[in-house]
Amino acid sequence: MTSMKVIIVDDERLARNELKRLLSKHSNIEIIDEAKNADEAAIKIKEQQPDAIFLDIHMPGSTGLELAESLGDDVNIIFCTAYDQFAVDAFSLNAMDYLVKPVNPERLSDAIAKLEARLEQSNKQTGLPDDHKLMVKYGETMRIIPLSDIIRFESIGNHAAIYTPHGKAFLHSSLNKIEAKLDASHYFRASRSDIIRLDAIESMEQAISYGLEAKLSNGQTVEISRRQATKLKQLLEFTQL
Amino acid sequence: MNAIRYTIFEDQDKASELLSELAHLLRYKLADGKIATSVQNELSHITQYLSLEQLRLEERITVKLDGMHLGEHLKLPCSVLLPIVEKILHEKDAYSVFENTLDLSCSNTDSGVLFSLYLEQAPKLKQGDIDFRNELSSLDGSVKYTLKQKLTTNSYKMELELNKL
Repeated sequence: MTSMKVIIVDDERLARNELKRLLSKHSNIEIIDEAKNADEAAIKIKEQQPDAIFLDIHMPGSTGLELAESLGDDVNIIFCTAYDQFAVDAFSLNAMDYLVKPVNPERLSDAIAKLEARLEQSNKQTGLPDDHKLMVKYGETMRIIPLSDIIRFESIGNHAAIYTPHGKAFLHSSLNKIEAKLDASHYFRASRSDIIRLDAIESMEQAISYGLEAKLSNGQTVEISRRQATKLKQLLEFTQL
Repeated sequence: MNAIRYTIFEDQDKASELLSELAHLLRYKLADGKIATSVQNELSHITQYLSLEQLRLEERITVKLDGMHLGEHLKLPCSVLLPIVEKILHEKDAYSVFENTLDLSCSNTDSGVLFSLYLEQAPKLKQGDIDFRNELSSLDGSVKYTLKQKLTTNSYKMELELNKL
């Protein structure tokens, strides 16, 4: 199951809460934020780079359609509105789906399945290959290493620390941006602060926080959050089939 | 109705109360124009309608009501004033602005009542008078009426004077 980060954009608090309630039944969906108008949404989308947004159309200020037009293909959009007359406009803006309120749980499940399929496809197409070369600075020395050498990305402020057989180095990028470029079949988001390489996991133990602790091939121990631990278990079970 | 449905998961007592209000309103609307009622009864249904709108718009609407108990003795066809208020909120698109301030008042005149509605919107109000000919036509033969509308950049004012024939 692919983990998907979403933002809900709707001017009505009650409608946002209803969608949150419905989405809470989908364990692969993580609601990372919500916005009550298009301007607020544009900032949050830029900052947090969700996989998809659930977008209302009729809102104060810019409409959902105007926001969708300004976003282009940067994010998957599932429109969620009380009006069916905007469907043609919405699909002309490359909407992934169009849900009419009150949202039918089955239609929502279909939309999520569609989103998941699209993301899996896009991960396959855009995930960097293992032999992709990276120029990395270790102290005063620059090295060219294959991506597969990196066994852990750790978020530190605006940077990410990377751990390789040559030691530790830094990349000036956020973990979300890095994650978007990685092949999900090789790397796994362990928590808000860590991405780990799956084949670098040597063992795992139950953590006190109900998540897991993964011991990596370089001897480091990385905590996997409770939520992500469930996803990792599912992922590994699936891989074994 | 969606807003009430969402409220069921947050506050069941509130949802139940709102559902009753909606049922009253629907029953009233079904009697549209068929029976006579008092201005006072119309005003009480307007109050119910506005409380439902407040549920959706929350902090984006402030409603002030005054003199809603008046008009007991002035008769008019059922559901005339309510559609006027609905039309104003619809035409001025209360959902597309960040702030609505609505003042509704009713006061006695020599031979009837003066029903006034003042709407302020931010950042701006959709311009243009509203055509109430359809709504007002049902008053013909039951009361004398005079309608005035006034617009500024941010506000809309409507005064409807209703007098006995």
